[in-house]
Amino acid sequence: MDVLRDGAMMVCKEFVERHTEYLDDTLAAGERRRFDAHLEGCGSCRRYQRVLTRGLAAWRALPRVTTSPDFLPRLQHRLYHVDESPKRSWRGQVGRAAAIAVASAGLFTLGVSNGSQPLLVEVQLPPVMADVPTETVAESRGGRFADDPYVPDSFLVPFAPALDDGGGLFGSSYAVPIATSDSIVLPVERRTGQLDESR
Amino acid sequence: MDTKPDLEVTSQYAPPDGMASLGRGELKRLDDAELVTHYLRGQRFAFNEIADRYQDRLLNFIYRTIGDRDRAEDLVQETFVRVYRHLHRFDPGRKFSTWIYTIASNLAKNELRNRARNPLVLFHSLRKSWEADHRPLEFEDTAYRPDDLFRKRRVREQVEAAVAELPEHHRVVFVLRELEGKSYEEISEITGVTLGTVKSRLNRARNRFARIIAPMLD
Repeated sequence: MDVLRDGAMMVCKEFVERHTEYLDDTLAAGERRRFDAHLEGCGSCRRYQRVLTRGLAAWRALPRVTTSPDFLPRLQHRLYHVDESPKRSWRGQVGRAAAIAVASAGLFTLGVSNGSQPLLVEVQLPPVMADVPTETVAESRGGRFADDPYVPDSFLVPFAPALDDGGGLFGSSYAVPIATSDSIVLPVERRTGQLDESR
Repeated sequence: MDTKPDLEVTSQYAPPDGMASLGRGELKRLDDAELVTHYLRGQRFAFNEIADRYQDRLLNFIYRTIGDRDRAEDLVQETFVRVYRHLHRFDPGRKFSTWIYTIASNLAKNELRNRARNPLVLFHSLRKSWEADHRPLEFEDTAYRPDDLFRKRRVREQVEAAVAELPEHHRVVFVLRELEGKSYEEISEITGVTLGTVKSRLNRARNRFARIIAPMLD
């Protein structure tokens, strides 16, 4: 509906689009008079105004909720940990930074002392040999492996680098646990091919 | 009115030398900016007053925005923890209430976005709703007719449902204006959008709210 008042016409579309300003009373006096005039002559916009104001009143009248009684003690507990955590993290960060700085300085020093050569250290590890109590070997020799020529006198640690004959999957050395008569499980080097004595 | 326990004030929170410690009653008379100043100068009890002053207001704001009371309380806690952590960075030129509502509003918006990404029906919300639906009518006033009470309850449910139907960015503006009574300028600062956008969102939210609620109120 169009309403002409104060020299300006207002249509319902404008009323609804700018209704917020009218409701919140932020319009200039002249503008407000235009809205009042439109409302006076338009049943549809009066209905809109009535529904909205009553709906908002009903919504504002909803019961207010309050925090539970343990809200502040819980908050205090959380704030206590907030107080604590920055201190821990601050020290931790400084500690980490110092450790990184020391490690970097050490590496840099080593690098400088070696000139431009890359820092590569070859480490030779001897084969690890493990002695087994005599009686245990004797047990295994006198037990189910008595006739097995591949059971060695000494037990070797599996996968020791010096024992690798490089024979691939078949014929290479591999370790198997051997159960003796007393069910003692020991890792034993077994070979399926000829031992390479030259190595 | 139930009394709520205070945040404990230990000796380590005593104010520094040369600054008088204010009592609870004196702290209550201070405005927010003064409370913040006292807190930053070492009077930790001032934070208790801030929490006391804002806990229910923030709870209602977040609850009406996200619709889950328990979760709202968790988010109010989170709001205070963030305020506590960053209070030293608070710009005294700004209004404290705007700052704290900005934090709460961001948390509420994040909550709604997380829910939109991972939709799930909260069992306790369902149960509460079921209990509310099946609870016998309580006649608070014998002068009221049961159908009046029923109608009132229906209207309450409808207005709550109508607000819950609003899009997230409209709802935040709507709650800040209609429940908290914030000015357009404050809403603009809290939500980080222009004044024109605030007016536009508020108008659309009211329009949609009116359309949903109209059949109940006509």
